[in-house]
Amino acid sequence: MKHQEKKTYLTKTKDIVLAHLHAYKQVVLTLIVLLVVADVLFLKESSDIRIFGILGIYIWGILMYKLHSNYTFFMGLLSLFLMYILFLITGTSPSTEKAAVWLFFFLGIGMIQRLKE
Amino acid sequence: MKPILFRFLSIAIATALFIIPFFWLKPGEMDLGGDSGRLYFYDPVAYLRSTMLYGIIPSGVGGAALSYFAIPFVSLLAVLHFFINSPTVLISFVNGVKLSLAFFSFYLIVKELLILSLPSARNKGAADAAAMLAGLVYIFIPSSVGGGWDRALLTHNQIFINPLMFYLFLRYFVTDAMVYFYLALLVTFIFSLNFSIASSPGFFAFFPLSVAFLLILRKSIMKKSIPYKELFFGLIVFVLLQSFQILPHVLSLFSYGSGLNSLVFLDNSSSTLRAGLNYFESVASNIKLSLSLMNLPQGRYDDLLSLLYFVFPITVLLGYMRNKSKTYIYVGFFFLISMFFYTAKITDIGFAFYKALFRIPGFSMFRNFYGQWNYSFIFYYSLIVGFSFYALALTVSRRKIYVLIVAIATPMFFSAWPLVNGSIIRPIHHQSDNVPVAFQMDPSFQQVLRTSIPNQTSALLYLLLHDSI
Repeated sequence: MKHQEKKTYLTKTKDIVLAHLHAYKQVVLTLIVLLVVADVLFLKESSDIRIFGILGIYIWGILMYKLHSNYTFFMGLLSLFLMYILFLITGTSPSTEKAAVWLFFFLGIGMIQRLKE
Repeated sequence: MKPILFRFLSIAIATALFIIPFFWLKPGEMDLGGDSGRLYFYDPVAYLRSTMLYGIIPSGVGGAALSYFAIPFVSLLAVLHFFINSPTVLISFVNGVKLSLAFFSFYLIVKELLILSLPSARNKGAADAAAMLAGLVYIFIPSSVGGGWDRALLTHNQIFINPLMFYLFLRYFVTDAMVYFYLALLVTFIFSLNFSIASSPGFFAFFPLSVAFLLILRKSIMKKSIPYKELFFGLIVFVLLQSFQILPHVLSLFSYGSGLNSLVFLDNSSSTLRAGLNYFESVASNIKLSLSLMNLPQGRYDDLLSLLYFVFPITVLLGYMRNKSKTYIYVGFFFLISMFFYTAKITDIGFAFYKALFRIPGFSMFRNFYGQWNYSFIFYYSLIVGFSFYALALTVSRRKIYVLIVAIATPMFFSAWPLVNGSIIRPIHHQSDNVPVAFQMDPSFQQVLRTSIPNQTSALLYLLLHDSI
């Protein structure tokens, strides 16, 4: 009985969380963009855990919101814009390289999405 | 512009590219020297007799140096030299063939792939324009121009062999006509050097990836079965054709004390692995992914001009936003794979994975990965730019396309100019008093060569000729 109650509680919580996530789609996606920008601009050291963590969240976002591949290519354009600005200011600094790595991954993910579409 | 006019234009460009190298060297000049000496241009017959036919280094203590793989190509040079009778013209002729054939083969590849992707592309001028643009990108982007034109080694022939072989195999897979297969085998024989142990890094960087790409196209796009029997037959013929240069290496491998035998059987494996990795890590420390994405040469870029090269990744991203062709996506995947191997430093995990690959026997040939993956990377880079241009040409207004053409042509002009005016093959000798690499043979020196060298096989006389002897 108690187990059943717990299960119902968890299901309800999950539904509420999902409903909120769906309702705040723009907020969640903006947060992901900000995470990428913050990783490139504000964090000096490159970290695989951070990159693949953010990528994991982004892939989850793709599945959750059924994002079109063009959105990912747009993220790639954003990374390219960051890379351009950083290249102009700092040359081939670690930040420029991080933006390039993001561009590489967004291009790859976008292609996989496009293949599925 | 009608497609037929584009086809004429492509032939005109190929012809112009063939003619351009004839203006690089002044009459009588030669760009000898470099790692291979390039004396085979000066006197191919003498080079064949003194070097190619013997497996002994004509210097030092006379170590083994098996270079039979260059016999067919140097023999071809000897035949050409017989008719041309001028090393300058011979060098220019070979450079012209390299440039024009690289462009034209690439043009044909892109055209064929676009037709495969969308049959209506056959009659579209945009497809021809995209194919021509891709061909020009292939020969004129910075990585290609800086990829070995200065006192080019024979391995530099891969600039046109790669697209030529790819085109022949593509045509074979599309039409099933064996004639393309036989032509490809003929090319492998004439340019055996590019399919030998001397060119193994360039060979393994391009062909496995490209064969995989073509097989996927055959299965997924053409919806045809893979012709295993024909491919196996081709492999056997290829091995037989190459046996004249492979067998001596096999014998050398099992001859106790030979260089190859020591390398494979005697060297301490862990120290060999470490040496390869050390070299790899020292090269990798200078490689930047951002420069690769713009196709700028690593470590040598001008800040302001470099900004113009952003047009290439922008074109690719915008192209993918507007085209859903499966072939285009496969091109993209292979572009990313080649970029990974060309750059190595894509995340720490990627770098660790690359280093782990050095445990595969023979993989240490890629320790200078940046140079060895260069032509494979350029190939897929140019392919993706061509496809992206076509995707945009079909979907955006004509005015925007003209803007894009100008945006692509401007950086290409800057990278192409040193090659077009020939300055790339006429650099100044390092630390010299403005001594150019290209020189005219002094007639009195030639007289010395004719009269002073004793006509005996047991004697060797060294005369300083260029930076390599």
